[in-house]
Amino acid sequence: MKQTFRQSMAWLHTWTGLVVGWILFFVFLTGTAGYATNELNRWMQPEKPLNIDNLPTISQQFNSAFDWYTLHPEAQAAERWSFHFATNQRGVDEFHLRWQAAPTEIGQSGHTVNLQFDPYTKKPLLDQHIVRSTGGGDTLYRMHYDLRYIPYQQANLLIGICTMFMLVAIITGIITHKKIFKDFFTFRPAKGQRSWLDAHLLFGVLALPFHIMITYSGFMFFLITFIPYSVPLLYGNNNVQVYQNELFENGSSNLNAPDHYDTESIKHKAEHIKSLVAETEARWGAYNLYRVHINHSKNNHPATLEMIRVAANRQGIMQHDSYIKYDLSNFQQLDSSASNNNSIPRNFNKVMIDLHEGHYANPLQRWVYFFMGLIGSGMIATGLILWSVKRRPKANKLDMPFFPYLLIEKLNIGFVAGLPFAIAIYFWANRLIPVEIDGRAVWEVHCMFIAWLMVFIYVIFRPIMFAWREILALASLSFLLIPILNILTTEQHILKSIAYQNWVLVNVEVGFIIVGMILALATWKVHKRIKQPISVNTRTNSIARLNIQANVPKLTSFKKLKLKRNLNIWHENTKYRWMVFSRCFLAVIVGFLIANLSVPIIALIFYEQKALATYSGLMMSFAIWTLIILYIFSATTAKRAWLVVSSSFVIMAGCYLFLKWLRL
Amino acid sequence: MTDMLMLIILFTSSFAGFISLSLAMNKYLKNTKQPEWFKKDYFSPFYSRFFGGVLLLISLLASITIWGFAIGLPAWCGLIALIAVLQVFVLTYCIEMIFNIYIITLIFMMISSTLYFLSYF
Repeated sequence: MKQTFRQSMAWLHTWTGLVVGWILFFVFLTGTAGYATNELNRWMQPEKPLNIDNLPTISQQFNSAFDWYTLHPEAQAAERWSFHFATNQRGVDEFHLRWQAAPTEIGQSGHTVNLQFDPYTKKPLLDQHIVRSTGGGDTLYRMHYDLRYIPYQQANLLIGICTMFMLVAIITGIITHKKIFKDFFTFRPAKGQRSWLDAHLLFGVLALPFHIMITYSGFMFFLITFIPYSVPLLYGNNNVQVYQNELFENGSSNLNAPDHYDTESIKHKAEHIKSLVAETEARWGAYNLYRVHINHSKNNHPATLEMIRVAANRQGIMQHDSYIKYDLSNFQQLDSSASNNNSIPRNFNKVMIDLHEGHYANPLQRWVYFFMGLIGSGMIATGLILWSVKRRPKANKLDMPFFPYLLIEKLNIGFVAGLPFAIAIYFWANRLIPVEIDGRAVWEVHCMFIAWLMVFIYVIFRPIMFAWREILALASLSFLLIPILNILTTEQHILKSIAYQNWVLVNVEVGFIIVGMILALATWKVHKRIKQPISVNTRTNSIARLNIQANVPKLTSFKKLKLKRNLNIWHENTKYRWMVFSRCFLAVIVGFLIANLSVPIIALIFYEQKALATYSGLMMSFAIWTLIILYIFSATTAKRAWLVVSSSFVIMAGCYLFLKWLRL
Repeated sequence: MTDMLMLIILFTSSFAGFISLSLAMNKYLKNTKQPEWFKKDYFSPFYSRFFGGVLLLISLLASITIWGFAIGLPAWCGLIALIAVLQVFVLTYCIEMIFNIYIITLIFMMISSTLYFLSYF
């Protein structure tokens, strides 16, 4: 691709980062908010009481909900029930019973019913409008993997591609950066491009373990979605369920168990079930039992009782004593150690997912996660800005077309400064939209995206540096004023929360102030840059003059003057562009096919444990794909890359067919 | 109480450890103001790196003591990254004071460690 391997990797780092940088920034920032999902949920429902004292014990809550269930046939007909208890951990103060009705058709899921109980009176809350309807922190959290206004499958696929680019960008970034230890702690402020590079390296290097973990573990959630052809190649089309049954089988199959729903038997075992819950609560400690599931007997599997511990009070990331399952036919605890659930690949996957989501984290660790998320967002933002700053001299000398450069500059402003502003508007909407309006939860999100759209429109008509300053100032003010808005619109404000020792709400408002102050600092820095006196002699300052004092029409006039020259350059570069396109095609399409093929090959080699080998193969396939991409862009010629990668694909396809024939 | 003391040890030892590591680099060392009684040789790169490494190891042990190995290790990785960012801001904007900050941090660490061990008696 380039003269040396490192140069090729630098090129790949630059362009992979730019192509998906904006989506990754969105994913990182909304994902960072996701670390405070429960806390934000609580903050966005200010009607709830500030002080929750003397909550009934988990056993008392369970018994009341279970008694309610035994009296209501419509609930008994369900396939599975979930009891979620009010524990007041991370602001979770809701107590509800959720059940999934039996499916009416084969292959379909039954509808879900959610019934909220008052934890004190232990009676169902039939009026659901006691607290305001809101998307809460859950909506922000979901946005980081399903985006918004995009069909779920497509959004997942897009996020998968972006995650792959992110992994490639991280690895190429490590290869490119020659002096990781020498440049440790180095930040040289007010030195233009140098400062942006330092900031990018600082955020990238200091939190490198976090970046690698968060990116790689991102794949773990959607293994089959990201590598969709691997399982059908092994198990046949439409047989994903067979693979999942084989992988998740828990050794609880019991031929004596009925193959139909047996609602009566569970009802008659009420006392025994209640005593098991009380026993577990005593073992785990008060308010450490978070959820109970009861599953009917089905397909010769016995009815089961599952109990899950509060994640934040675990002793390890993946604690074995955090989940207990009983067979309700004989009340014996089911041992999962013999099943796939306790195998190394499954445990690795669980650890990665838990590390990604940080369920185990206590408040201090949650703050660390939050700041690491901000550092990750900062790394992406500084990388995007660095791309523009680096090319400003060229752009201003009209060595390259103006439109793409301007577009990237404006997109940077819209995303980096505009997204925090839009998120702040989401919280403002929560407080300002009248409580009684139907669909207010959806309108909160609409407000966020409308505000974001307005930012993009505004940015089009403003000079670059002015737009940066104004949007950042707006975002900063929006966050800093949230606590004041809270005082004006609700009876819960930070001082009252401190008085009631509701640290969940205090943490949320402190978080708003911290984010607001970071944005205010950024605004002040941009303001200082604009006010900086400009000397005409230096190249850097001439660039600054263009960006600060000039407006868009001036740039357009330059564009007209040099358009012909730019067109010539464009034609000269056509060959180069085709070469880049062919490598991209190879990396994305053939790389994807090889990653898909690698999974069944691994599974066919370790055929005795086919499901586990498939699972391991799926986790490894991303690493294989990454290596292929690195090779493709480091090969000296595109022809060689095509030859090696295509022949690898053919050899792998041959291996797959041979192994498949061998195993038949 | 003991957990709080351990947290102070964790923060101070990792911060002091990073300062020590930065003082192993001449580009930072030459910009610091040191008291006259203090010999510059004390900050030879080897000793600074060694002492910095030891302090970071202490912070790792503190983290494992508080949260156990499984959570302590990732929590330490996250915390030291944040402390390193703080260290960069100190080096960038108040490098002259770094020696004083270093001494104060070490004193805090010593006091917390003493109190922690005394809490056992």
